[in-house]
Amino acid sequence: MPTIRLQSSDGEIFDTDVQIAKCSGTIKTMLEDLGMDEGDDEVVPLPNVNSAILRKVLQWATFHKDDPIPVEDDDSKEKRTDDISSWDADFLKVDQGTLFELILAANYLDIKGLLDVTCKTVANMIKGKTPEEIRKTFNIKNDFTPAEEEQVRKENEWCEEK
Amino acid sequence: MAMQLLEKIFTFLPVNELVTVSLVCSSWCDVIRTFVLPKYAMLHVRPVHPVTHQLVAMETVLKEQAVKPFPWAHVKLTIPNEDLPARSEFVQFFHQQGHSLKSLTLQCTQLTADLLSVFPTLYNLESLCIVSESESLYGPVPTNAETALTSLKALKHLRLHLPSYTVLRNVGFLGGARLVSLSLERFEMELHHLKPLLNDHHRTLRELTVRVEEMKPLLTLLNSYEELKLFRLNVKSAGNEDDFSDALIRLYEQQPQLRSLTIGSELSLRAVDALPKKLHHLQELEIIAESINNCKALSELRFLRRLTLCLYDVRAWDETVQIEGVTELSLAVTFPLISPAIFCSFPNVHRLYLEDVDDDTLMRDIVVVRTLMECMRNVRVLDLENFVFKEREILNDGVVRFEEMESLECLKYSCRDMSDASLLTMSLPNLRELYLTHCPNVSTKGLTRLVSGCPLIERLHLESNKSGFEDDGMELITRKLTHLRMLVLVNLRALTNASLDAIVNNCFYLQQLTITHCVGITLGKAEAIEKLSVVKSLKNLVYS
Repeated sequence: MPTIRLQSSDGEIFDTDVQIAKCSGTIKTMLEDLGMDEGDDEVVPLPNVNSAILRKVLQWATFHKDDPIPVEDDDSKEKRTDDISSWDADFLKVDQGTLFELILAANYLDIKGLLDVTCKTVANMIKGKTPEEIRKTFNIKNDFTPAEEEQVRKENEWCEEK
Repeated sequence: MAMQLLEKIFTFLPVNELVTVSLVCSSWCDVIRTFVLPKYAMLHVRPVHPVTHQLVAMETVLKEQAVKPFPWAHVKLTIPNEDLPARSEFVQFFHQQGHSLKSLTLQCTQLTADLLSVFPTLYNLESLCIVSESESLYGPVPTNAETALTSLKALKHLRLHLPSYTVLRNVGFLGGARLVSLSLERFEMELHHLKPLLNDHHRTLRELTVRVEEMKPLLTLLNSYEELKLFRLNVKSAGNEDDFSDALIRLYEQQPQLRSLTIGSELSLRAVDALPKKLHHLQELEIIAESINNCKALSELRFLRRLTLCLYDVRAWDETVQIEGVTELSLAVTFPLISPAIFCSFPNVHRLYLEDVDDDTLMRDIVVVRTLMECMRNVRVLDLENFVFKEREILNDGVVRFEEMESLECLKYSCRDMSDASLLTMSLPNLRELYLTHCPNVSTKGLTRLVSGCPLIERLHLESNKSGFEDDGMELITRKLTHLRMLVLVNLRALTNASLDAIVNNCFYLQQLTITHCVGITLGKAEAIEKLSVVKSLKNLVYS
């Protein structure tokens, strides 16, 4: 099976199946634009992803390599966060720092499935909580005055679910 | 975290939740106000305020919204009379914001010339939904229909609810657009109206929802377009018609790429059998049939995620068949004996909806209940509202119900003899939604256990209780369930006005409140609304 060599920000080389690497839109475009041949021994540098995170990303991509290609992004689709598979849920049982790094990596590498599932996981950490509980979870400071709070509520008066 | 990624995360939250989340801190609030709400939420301007029930000066609201720096992409307008579209504020709103609109929903009595005259601003509009309650189907056609409809050049999605023949008689003018989805759901479509639409748009059309008088002529029409490639098809006929199996099987052959198929008319066994052989890409399937002969074939549909079956009889179901991909299952069985075998075939179901004939003569076999509960351990959403249990027998037999479903997030449950004993065993740490549509013998004792066993409840619906469920129970619920967002109280006869005090004093994040048929709550409507409007977070209030 053809492989390519990916290099993480801290210099580690990952020999990776081309098909798996190509689930990243960024790598796919790079390969196409640079006209890299599959036999080439060239190294693809990924300066924004460290080895620990890249290892996780590749683990995710390997498991999901046979997933159907998502249908073009449909805005009207309901925004569900309860459809995370049990494999993904287990895979994402990591500390908050790692989770955020995975989001950044998925975004940089343009891996839609991974970006969706990591963002959903964070959304689930927010869901159903009071503002105070959310601040505690993410270590955020409240910088609103009561009058500003009232203003925010009022502004949202007319908005609804699509 | 970068703005762009916060935005992405927030898009997975429901709009009501976003309102709470925007109170966290000013930078989150800015992201939500500037990027998330204008893009993903909908501005709904309507003539009556949803909480205070007072008349709204729509002109004033539209005037304010017209100058917003971050224009809305999705707008819904409930138009109370024919005067509003003629007002300068209305026209001005569309002149300022019309070009930013991606979707527009209009609830109106008639598509009048005044209303159509703002359509030329909608040249970027992708989705149009018209809900019209017009009585006169073939009223006068406004003279500017052509100009109005030809301006919708970017239109991709068209939904018409109830007859709005102004559009249907002028569909030719939509020829400049490339329709991707078409939904004509609420009324039976005449083929001579549908045909010109399909002639113009069949090359781009991917989703079709339509109701017709008879299935066969519709299917034959669809089959006549060689270039039609549908991903989603939802059809329903009035019934009492010729066998349409041949035309349907032909459709399977012509549309092998279908991802979602809903047929709201009964299929022959032959049409059911042919389905998994032809449609390998199905992700969602909804059918009505007498039974399924070859349930094993369904397991070969490897992308199937959502399955909705309305069957007469499942006694022949083979329990060794494993349909592993399906995560959402809805099952309605009409024959009074449901075979428990069917529950064994869906090991990965997360959402289960179950329905059967609600009848006292129905024998609810304890084996059925036991198998159901054992097979559905991993379920997150369990809707048994239309699957009536006899609680006493279940509890007497010591059948474990959902007590061990640790991941259960939503439970809709109904049993005619529900008592405190039922709530005493409920300890569901992840439960967010609970609907008990019959709780005749529940009292404060059971509710005490409920609020400590299920502390994360956000949406609570309680219905039908004659006595026992009193104001102190309400005090308990509102004080202990701090995450409560929705509360629906129906026909709870022992509650009095003191329950309203409990809500006002204890609920800080409640967004939806419904109180109806609670005869002990005697406060007049106006007074009650005034009192309850104090709950700042409230977005919707129903009181009667």
